[in-house]
Amino acid sequence: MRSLWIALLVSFAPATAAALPSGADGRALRDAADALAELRLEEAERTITRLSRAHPADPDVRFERGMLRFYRGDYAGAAQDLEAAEGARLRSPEDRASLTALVAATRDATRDFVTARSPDGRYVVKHAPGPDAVLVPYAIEAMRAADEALSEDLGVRVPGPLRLEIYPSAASLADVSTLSVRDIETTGTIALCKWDRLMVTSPRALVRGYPWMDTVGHELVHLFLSRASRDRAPVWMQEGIAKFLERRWRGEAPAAHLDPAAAALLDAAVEGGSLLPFDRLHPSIARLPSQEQAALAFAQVATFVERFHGERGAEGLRDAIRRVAEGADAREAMAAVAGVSFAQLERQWQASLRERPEPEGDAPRLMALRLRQGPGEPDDAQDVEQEQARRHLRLGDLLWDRRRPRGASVEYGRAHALAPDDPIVASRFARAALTGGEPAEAVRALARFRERYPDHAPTWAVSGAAWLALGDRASARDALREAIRINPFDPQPHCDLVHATDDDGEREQERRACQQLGGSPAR
Amino acid sequence: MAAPGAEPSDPPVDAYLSRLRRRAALVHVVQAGVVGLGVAGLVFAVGALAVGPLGDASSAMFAWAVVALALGAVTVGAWQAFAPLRGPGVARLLADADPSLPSAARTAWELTRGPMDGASADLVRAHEARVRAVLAQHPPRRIVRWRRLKHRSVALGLLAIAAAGLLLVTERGRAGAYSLVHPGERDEQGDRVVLAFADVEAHIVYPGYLDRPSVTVIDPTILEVPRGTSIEIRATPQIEATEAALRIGGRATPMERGDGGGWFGRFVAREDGPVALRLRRPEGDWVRDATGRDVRVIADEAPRVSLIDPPDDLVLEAPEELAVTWTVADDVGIASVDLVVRDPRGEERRRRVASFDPGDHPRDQTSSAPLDLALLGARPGDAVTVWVEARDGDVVSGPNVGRSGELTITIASESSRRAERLAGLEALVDRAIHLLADHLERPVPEAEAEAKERFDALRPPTDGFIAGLREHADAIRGEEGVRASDVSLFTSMASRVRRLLQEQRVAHARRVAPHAEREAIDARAVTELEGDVLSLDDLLGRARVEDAAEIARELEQIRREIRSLLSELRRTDSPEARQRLLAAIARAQMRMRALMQRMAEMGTSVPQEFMNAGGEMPTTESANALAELSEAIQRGDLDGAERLVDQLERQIDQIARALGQTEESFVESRFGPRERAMANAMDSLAGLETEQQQLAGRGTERRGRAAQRALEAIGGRDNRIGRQLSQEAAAVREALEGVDRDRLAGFEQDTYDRARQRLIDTEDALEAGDLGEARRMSEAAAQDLSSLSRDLDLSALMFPGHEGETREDAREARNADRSLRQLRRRLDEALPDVASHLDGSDREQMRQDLERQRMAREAAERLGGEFDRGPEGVPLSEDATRELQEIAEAMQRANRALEGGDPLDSARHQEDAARRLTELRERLENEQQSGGQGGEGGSSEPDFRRPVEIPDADQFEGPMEMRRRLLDAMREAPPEGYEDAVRRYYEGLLR
Repeated sequence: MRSLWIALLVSFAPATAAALPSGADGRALRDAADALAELRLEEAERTITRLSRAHPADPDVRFERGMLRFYRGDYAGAAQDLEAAEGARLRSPEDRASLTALVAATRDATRDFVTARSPDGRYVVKHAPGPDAVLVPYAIEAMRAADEALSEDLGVRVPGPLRLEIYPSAASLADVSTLSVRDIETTGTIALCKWDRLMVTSPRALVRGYPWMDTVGHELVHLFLSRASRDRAPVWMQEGIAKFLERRWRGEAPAAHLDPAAAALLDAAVEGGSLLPFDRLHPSIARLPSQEQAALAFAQVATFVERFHGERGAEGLRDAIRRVAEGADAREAMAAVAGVSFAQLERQWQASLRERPEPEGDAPRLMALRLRQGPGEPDDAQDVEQEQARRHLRLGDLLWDRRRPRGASVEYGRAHALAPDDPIVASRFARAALTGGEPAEAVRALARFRERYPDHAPTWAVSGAAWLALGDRASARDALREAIRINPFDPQPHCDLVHATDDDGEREQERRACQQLGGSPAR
Repeated sequence: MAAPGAEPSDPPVDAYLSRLRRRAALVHVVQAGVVGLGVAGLVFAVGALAVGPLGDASSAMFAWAVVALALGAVTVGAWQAFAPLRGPGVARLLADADPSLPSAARTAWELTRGPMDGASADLVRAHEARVRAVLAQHPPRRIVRWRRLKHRSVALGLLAIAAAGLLLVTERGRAGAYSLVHPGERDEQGDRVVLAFADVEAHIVYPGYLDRPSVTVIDPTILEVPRGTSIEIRATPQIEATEAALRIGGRATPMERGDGGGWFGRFVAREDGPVALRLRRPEGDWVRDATGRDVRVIADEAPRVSLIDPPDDLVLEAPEELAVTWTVADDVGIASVDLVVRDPRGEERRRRVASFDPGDHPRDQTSSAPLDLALLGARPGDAVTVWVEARDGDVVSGPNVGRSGELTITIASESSRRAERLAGLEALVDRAIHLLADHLERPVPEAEAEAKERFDALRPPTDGFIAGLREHADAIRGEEGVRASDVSLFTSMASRVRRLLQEQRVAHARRVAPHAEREAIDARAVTELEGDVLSLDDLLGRARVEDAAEIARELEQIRREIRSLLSELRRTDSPEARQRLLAAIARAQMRMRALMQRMAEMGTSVPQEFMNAGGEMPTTESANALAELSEAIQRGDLDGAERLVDQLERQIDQIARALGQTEESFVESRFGPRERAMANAMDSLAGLETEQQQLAGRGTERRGRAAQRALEAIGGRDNRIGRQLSQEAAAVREALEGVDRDRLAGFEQDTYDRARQRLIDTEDALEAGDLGEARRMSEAAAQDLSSLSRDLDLSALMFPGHEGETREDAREARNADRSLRQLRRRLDEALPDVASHLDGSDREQMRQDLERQRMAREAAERLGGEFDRGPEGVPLSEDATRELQEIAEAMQRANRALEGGDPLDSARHQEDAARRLTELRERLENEQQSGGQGGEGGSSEPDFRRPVEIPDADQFEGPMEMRRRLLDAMREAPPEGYEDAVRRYYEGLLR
């Protein structure tokens, strides 16, 4: 009888297994969970794989295996593990619930996604089926170039594959992240790097697009930095270094790369003594109250890192990151590398800001990122601040839509005269001039805006087309590539680049993109 | 003879001989040809005759060998006859002309080719020259004449040809020749192909309905006949046969042996194809006649049907009866005509409108038949498709059916009227934009000639735009759901553009204005046009949004109908209920498609931010849900259908809310300034009305006091005046009786009864000549009547009644109230010398009112200006501007009467001004309420931001209670002079 009871107990043992293995395995699982949090995924993977074999039914092991799968991009498997890990104890019930919901949301949001890989398999891009496919070659190009540059700059090699997910809307990005749509709309934070992957919003989700390739570069810096610092770098340091290195994929030297509007905000903050304390950036720049504050925050931290890098070099920066990875506070780490206190570092940086050259003329306004709402063609004319200019712009658009470009050009011209600093007006005016056979006028009208509003895609697209019409293929090429880096869904820059490029591979790629987007490469 | 030293012009001897030889050869060839043909032909004909139709390959080979031998013999003989004429031998032919000439010519030929040794060259040349000269007199055509062919060999040859021909025209000869030319030929069935028949003929008998005589065709090769024609083939065999058959296409038909040894067979032509005649030899094998024959069937054409009237698709205001006229033509004859209608549910209904007896089929017909759309159950918004079908009398392959084009008759609905108005507005926007472009794209030139040319080019589109504006204003004026202010906007726009055109015309008259002046005029025109373009585009955007919102409302109604029909289907499970439900779903799908199309068409007129103001609109999801619902109903899944209806309810509600917010935000953005200006103007108008009513009230009271004194002066009685006015009092009572007492609420009935009784009392007092009593009674009646009129106005505001009954009652009460006021005024005015009965305080009051009335007049003029200018120069209401001008004039007249101390005229003009102000305010308020509503008259403005709920009794109690309390509060006496302002305040609360 007794042996029967023992047999029964043994047979029920897997079903009633206690959570968290005891002894060394339990400790190993805790270490693996920490390793996951610190993005030491390979280390965590070894442990969790072993424990999964030894304790296949243990809820905690199952939960951590689910998390590992989540980090590795297997969302369906992750959701299955997390949902089945009833009774796990290693993490708090609240954490488990929120993680389970997040993983399920990610699985649902990416269920229909298409996966594209670079030939060597190191770069993986997932996107919603449809027009976002056009982004893939450009995304891989940016990832590859950034990977090479950052491996050298930060002295860390990410094992890969490097995964990028492109979400079709801000709402879908919010679904799979800790951001809310409100955060995204308020601060224009439309991408993030978390859980060992890059998540960006498709530029088609924004009315005018955004510098999405730089953003891919920016998020990749975060990925490298998270690995290098064991995800211990505070937000200000993360964002400062990411902003400082985000254009490395272009082959440009590391720099803060402030656009004129951001530089003006920084100058005003210095002038008015309203610089943001670095602590204000916690927990995320996305939580700041406005896009202006977010731009100022980026300008501050980027110039801080720029100055530190200027003084201590790349090795100094790597040393500081290493210290942070070893557990040092970021301020102390940087101060230790600099050999002065952090307060002194801050004072020196602020002094350097005051020494910045005075900008010429009025500061350009910050063009807020505007999310596209629903289907249909958005009208950015509403963003023109001057009312009369907006009125003439609308008239111009009505004439343009009825194929009366000359009449439209007159109205755009009037709008341009009333709002000479507005890139929306200027690009419409230039477009009409170009159509009216005056490409030189188009180039001239946009000259100022290429400097002042470098993220305005129509400025680059029309400039490129105008240069192409003038026979200046080199300038056209640069401008058109810039336009594509901001709004790759406008077919015209692709179609024009077919004729501007000297590279056969690029020509073929642009021809495909042009046709894919409904354009015609014929001139 | 040629002169010495000169080159002889005659041809050389050798050339002459060559020409002679060629001619001789030609004659020989002709001769030999005739002989050869004759011999060979004769041999071939004999051979053909010998082998007959069934000649085999060996006999054919033998016959051809004999022919070849004969030809060879003739060729050899001809060559031998020609051989002596080769080289200089041809010279012998010259002997016929001159016997010495052959020798001389031959010598000359030889000497010219190679002179003999020691021979004198001169002598040789001289000899040759002499011979050439002689030969020149004998051209070759005279030496070798064609008559040489009059030779017996040629005659024999011709005879042989004739004989061969005679032999070959015989049936056997012909058949034999075919077998020699096609030795052993077989068709795809393996039958021998020979000329098996002779004397083939086809007897053609046409179908009876064609009424044509039969004909016989000899030796037919192609027979073109109408479908259904009977064809009899008769033929004489060339070879012995045991049976014969026809093969038409793939079908075989046996032939019968005739009396004369021939065969005959019949078939009916139904399709195109070859006709083969075959016979079977005693040996048992089949042979096919070699002559190819085909039948081509001519199909009978269907009748040609055309609808004559109505000539095009049309829209009817109501489902009424109309005549449909058609014309039909057919070569055979028309048997019947059907009028076919596809009703709104997609069912086809057919009605025979003409039929003819078989012997009386007309070839063409024009006729008409009535079509009553009401009988078809067509409702506003429905479309029926009509066409005419005609059948001919073809009983063989027919009847063939001809069908006219389709005609769509649409019953106008608010939706179709909206679509029409939208199309008109779109066209106007296009015209305005192109006109603006025409101005912008052609700068004002300096040169006068070019300036005139520009003006001439701009004038037609400007005229077209003006005409378009006026036409559109005329088309929409008075239509349900159209704001009067919109009509005013179009007409004022047309007037402004016309004025500008006139300015331009003057500037481009015989004396062209200076460049600067023309530029200034053009700049004004452009500025105005820019404003017009934007205004029109805003109106278009608003119309589109309102249209979409209205469709959403219709969808909501259909959705309710669907739910109700689904319940009915659950209860009855009848095919009729199912069909009605499917029809309702189809209607919803149609409206959903219309909604999606409208939203797609909004384009840039309604920018995306407005479209998104209310959040997402799940139109695609709703369309899918409707399709799934239809499928669920068809497969009988009513539970699934119920779930889908729930889903639809949420989706349509979401769409309706979103569109409501779009409408609100768009109108606020684009029409906000105008709406606000209108609201301000209305406030000013209400204030002015209050002031004028106070002034009029004081004037009326003043007049009453003076009248009372005048009445007392005459002793309170005047039968003449009383009788005169008693009829008017009766008219007021009758006007009041136009209000349906039974429809009134209890307290309203009391007021009604009191007012009516007081009017009867007034009537009696007047009849009795008791003017004092009549004045008292009329005053009492006026209080009750005013109260009743206000109550009914408020009731009508909230519950106008299913068919506007309450509204109608309110209107009747208002009219009666006005008539009573007039009666009271006439009563006062009828008294003699009222002005002299003013006392000092009244005169002082008139002096005080003089200033107030002047200020009111100035306010009326200012307000008229506000209505005229509007924001951005577009008038708010031209009607209001005109009306206020006239009101200001009435006030001016009142002012003059006040100055002159005339209590009657001053009160009359003041009352007139007050009354007109009230009427204007009410009219403008009605216009504002009706605009954008679009639905049935009298329904309140839809609020898409709120789910539609049918309140139960408890829910309804609150509003009713509030109304009661408000009405009670209204009855409390307001401060003096503020009665109307307070009343309007309460009215606003009730609204």
